Amino acid sequence: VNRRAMATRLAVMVALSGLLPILVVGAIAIEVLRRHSEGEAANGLRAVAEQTAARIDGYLAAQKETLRAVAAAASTSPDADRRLEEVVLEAPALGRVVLVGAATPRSDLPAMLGAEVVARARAGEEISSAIYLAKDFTPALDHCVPAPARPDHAVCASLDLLELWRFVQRIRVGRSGYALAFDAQGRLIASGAGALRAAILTGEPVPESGVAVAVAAGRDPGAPRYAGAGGVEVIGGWARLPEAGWTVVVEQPAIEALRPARTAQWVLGAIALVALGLSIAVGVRQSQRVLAELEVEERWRTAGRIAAGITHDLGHRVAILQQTAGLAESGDAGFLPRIRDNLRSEVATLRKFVADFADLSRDVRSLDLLPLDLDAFAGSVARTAASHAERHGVRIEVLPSEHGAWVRGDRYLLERAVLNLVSNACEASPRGGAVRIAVTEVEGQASVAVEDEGSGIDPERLPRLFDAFMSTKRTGAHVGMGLANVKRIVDAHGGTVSVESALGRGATFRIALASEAPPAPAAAPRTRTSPGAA
Amino acid sequence: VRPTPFLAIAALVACSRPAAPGRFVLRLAVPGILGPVRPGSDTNASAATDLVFESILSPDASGRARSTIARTFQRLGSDRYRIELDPRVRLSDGSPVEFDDVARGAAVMGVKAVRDGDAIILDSGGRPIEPLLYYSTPFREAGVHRLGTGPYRVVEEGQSRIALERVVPAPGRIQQVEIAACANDRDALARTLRGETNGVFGLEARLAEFVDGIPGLRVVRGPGPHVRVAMFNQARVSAADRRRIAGSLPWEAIARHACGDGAMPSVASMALPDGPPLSIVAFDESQPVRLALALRRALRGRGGAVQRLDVTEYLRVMSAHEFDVFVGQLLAWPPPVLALSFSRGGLFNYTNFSSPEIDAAFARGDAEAARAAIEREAVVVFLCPRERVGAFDARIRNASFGRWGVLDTLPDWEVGP
Repeated sequence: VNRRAMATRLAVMVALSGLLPILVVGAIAIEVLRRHSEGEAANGLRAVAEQTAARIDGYLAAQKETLRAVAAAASTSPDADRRLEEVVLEAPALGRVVLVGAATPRSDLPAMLGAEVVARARAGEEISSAIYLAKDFTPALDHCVPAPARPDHAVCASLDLLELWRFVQRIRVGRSGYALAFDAQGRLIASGAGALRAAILTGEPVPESGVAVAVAAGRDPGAPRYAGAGGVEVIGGWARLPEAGWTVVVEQPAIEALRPARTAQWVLGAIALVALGLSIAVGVRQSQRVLAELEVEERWRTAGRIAAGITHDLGHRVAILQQTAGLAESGDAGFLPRIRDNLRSEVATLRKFVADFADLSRDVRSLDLLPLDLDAFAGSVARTAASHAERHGVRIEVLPSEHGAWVRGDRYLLERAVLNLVSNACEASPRGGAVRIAVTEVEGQASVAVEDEGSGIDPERLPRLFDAFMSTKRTGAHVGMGLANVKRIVDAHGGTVSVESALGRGATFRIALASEAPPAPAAAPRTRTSPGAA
Repeated sequence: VRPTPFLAIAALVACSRPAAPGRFVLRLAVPGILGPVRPGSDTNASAATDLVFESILSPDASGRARSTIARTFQRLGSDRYRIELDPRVRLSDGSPVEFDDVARGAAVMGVKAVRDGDAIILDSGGRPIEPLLYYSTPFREAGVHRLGTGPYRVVEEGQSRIALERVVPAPGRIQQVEIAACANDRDALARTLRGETNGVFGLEARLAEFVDGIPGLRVVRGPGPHVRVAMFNQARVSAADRRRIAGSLPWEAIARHACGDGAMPSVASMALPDGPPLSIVAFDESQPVRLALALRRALRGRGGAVQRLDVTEYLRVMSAHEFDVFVGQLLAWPPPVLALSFSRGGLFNYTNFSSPEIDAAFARGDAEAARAAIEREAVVVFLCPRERVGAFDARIRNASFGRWGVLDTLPDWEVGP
């Protein structure tokens, strides 16, 4: 495995395992922050609405107080009508001011107050009309106060509420927040949102009218987040003008009101990403360094294991050769057969020793993959191993698959692997026993199993059986590289090698590879061993 | 070579050309019934007539007379003009303007046209002719619609809708004008605020700030030809009394406070001549009433009752001379139009005002002298100009009002993206 890739995997794994909990906690914190922000925004808007309501209330109260003062000052004057009529010059907001008595013609009464209502004012009660639009479409409100020291008379004014519009239109919250004012029936009477002003003229309801009606009626209008004009999500705050029964709603697009929380989300997200990136970058560097150190250490450890194996095995060989040399030096001709056998045996052992090392040095990453008929392949392996089996007094049996089994593989390397298993099986089996090479194909997987009749493998050895230099045979011909090579070769083919064993009942090694369909007839002869060779 | 592939490629290339920029349509909301677009129409179609027809004379920015249809124009007397038509001027169907077209337009205002070789003599029959020529627009009856020399032609005209189209397309300018009839002023404004139309005018000045800040709209303000005035009734207030009263009152202070929106402090007047209280009539609108009340306060003991009038009462009161002082508005720009109100037989001279000096000045064509005489004789005190207020599509870069016709400058309005 590429050291850099492994280091990256390690670093990402460590970084993610460290950051994920932080991100989860951060996400929870952000949600809490968002909800808190929504509440805070609504509270802020409610405060603005209350201030606005208070100022409108104060303005109306001031106009009414002015009217009372005017009534007190002018109503007893002999030219009261004229003086009151000219009040508008000093107090334009009072509009038209008239002295109303029982004989006042209906045409001179305030536009929105009938004679019966004005009669209550003449009787001593202050009365107001609903807010309405005057002839020039500006808002107005008729108000009558009793005329002091003038029995059965009232002073009425058509209060000019243009200032109400100005005041409401001037209110801005953030960049896009605005104020709206409604009468008790939920009709819009002033709007800081230009898009809603047509409703002031037409009296048509706006989305916030429902909120205004609920507030005016003293009911809970619901959540402070709702769909405002044009379906835009807004956060609103409201306040009621107790005397007039009007409602002030101040709202701000939610997207704007919650911008700080959203910014925090982005910042936190960005920080998490940067932290992740930094963690990975640092982790990769550190992992590479650690892996390099591990690799060096492992290399020395491997070299030690190899040296121990070689020392042991070559020491054994040297001892035998030394002994053989002693026999030769004795000059006794009777030793010649033994000397010959010793030398032949040791040469064979050393040759295998060299072959194992040659396998170890072979690069299994560059495979020559071709279609391979496993049944024919098993027969070929059996023939190759026949002489070795014969020396150990065992026979080799080939059990071909039921319907044929084809794989794509490097014939030479696979043969080295299977021969190794067969060779081990021959050595493990008792004389007169049998070694079976069985080929199967089940559901897209082809396998070659090598089964012996030996004493089986100690279960403690099984987990590290395929590690290099782990042989415990120590017969002098094994340095423990055979099964490690088998695994290397099978891994390179994308397959698996496994072993099943029970003490006293032999062992079965199985190489499993992905099967494939037999090649077209023209291609098949390339690797197929001629039939009947086994 | 087979032509089919080339034709296909040519067709693809043609289809891939960028689309022509959209035709900007100005949709105006106008209160009342519209009716046919014709010179002299007394319906609310006047916004359309200003764009379809051009008058024989019109005031330039400085108030001097000019003509867009006459190559030369010459004043022959108080009631006669000689003009030579500009042969380059065309009606909206491309045909040249002829004598009959001029005569037809002049006749609407009671002006007679007579051929004089290649020229035309226009005769108003004793009345000051300049103001009448400001309203005389050559036109031709052509099937359903009337043709004029203005920059737009009529495409559709009805009581509820008028559609105009620019005669010569101009990129970046308004190509079409649609005028929609609305139930009343409030409806017209509401429709514009809702975006159903993108232009409205004739708003009260106090509404400007209400419209300001509406997305997609821009408030436009500008002076018009009308002026707020205080007019004395010549028949009931003597010239001497008028002059003394006019000379005693702080008109500037009255105008400054009453034409604005603020409070008016007490104003000091000089000694006023003795006499009976003067009855004051005023249009029943905020500003005239404030002016009337301010005037009455300044008149102190001579200030009488203030009567508020609507338009129909106004005509009756004027004709019956039932007032001493009228506070309202007057068509006062350019100066020659004052002849309509202050010359004998003037179109708007509802009080039959008559002054030899003023008539003589108008007859000489010296409108400035006539105005000076009007002020000297204290017939009228000019107080403050009446502002035109409207709101138009914010994509129009340079929307403004004409000083004379309200939409005179519309053909030059530039439309942004």
